[in-house]
Amino acid sequence: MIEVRFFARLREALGRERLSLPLDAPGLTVAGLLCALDAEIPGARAQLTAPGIRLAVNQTFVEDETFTLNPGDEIAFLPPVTGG
Amino acid sequence: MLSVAVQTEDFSLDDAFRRLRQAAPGAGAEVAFVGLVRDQAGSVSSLTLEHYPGMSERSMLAVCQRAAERWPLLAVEAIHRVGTLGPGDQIVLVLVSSAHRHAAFAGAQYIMDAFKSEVVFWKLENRDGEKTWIEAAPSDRSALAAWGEASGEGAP
Repeated sequence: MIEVRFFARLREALGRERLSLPLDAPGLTVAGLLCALDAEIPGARAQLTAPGIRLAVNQTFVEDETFTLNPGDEIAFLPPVTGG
Repeated sequence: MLSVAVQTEDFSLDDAFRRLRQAAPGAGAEVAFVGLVRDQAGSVSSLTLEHYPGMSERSMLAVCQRAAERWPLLAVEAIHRVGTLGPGDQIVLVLVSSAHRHAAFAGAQYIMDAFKSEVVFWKLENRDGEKTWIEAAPSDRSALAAWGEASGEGAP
């Protein structure tokens, strides 16, 4: 399973806070996950790859769509942060 | 010693200074920054802060560690609040101690500049009943860039 989380305005735009995808094939990349998410939530890909959206895998920022995911990973899509 | 916390409850500057002084008894300089909920034109009724629990603390600690590598800081204490806050409420605290003032000022300013672009919190503004996610300010990104760092560098 891959756990996916959405925060702040992305969560509201997609109408979902989290979902689990049964993606256990080895070699799954962030790009592959985006395709699966777009199939699950139509239009998600455009929202998740919009300028400024960042990605964290297991709570660490990841910048590269070729990053390989492992079963059990938690992937979070993060709109531009506005703390401080 | 670096200490970070994310909490709903308010913080006391006196208590935080006491902890900082205990953590770094030999310090010669202490700098504090407190961020507050602004009330422009009196129309903000509340601000709700959301975060990514776990990563919010990790991202704050990573910023403080980078500051401590760059300047000779003796102690850092950072607190960020979450939940719903009202005008004038305290949001964020950064306390830095060092032997001398230059490192303390620079360290505190760097930490706040990096917090603005690198820690995973989001503000939802409630203005006269209308809720809007606050947009990231381009000036926050350039403030971090001015320290020679692009957003995403050395991130947790």
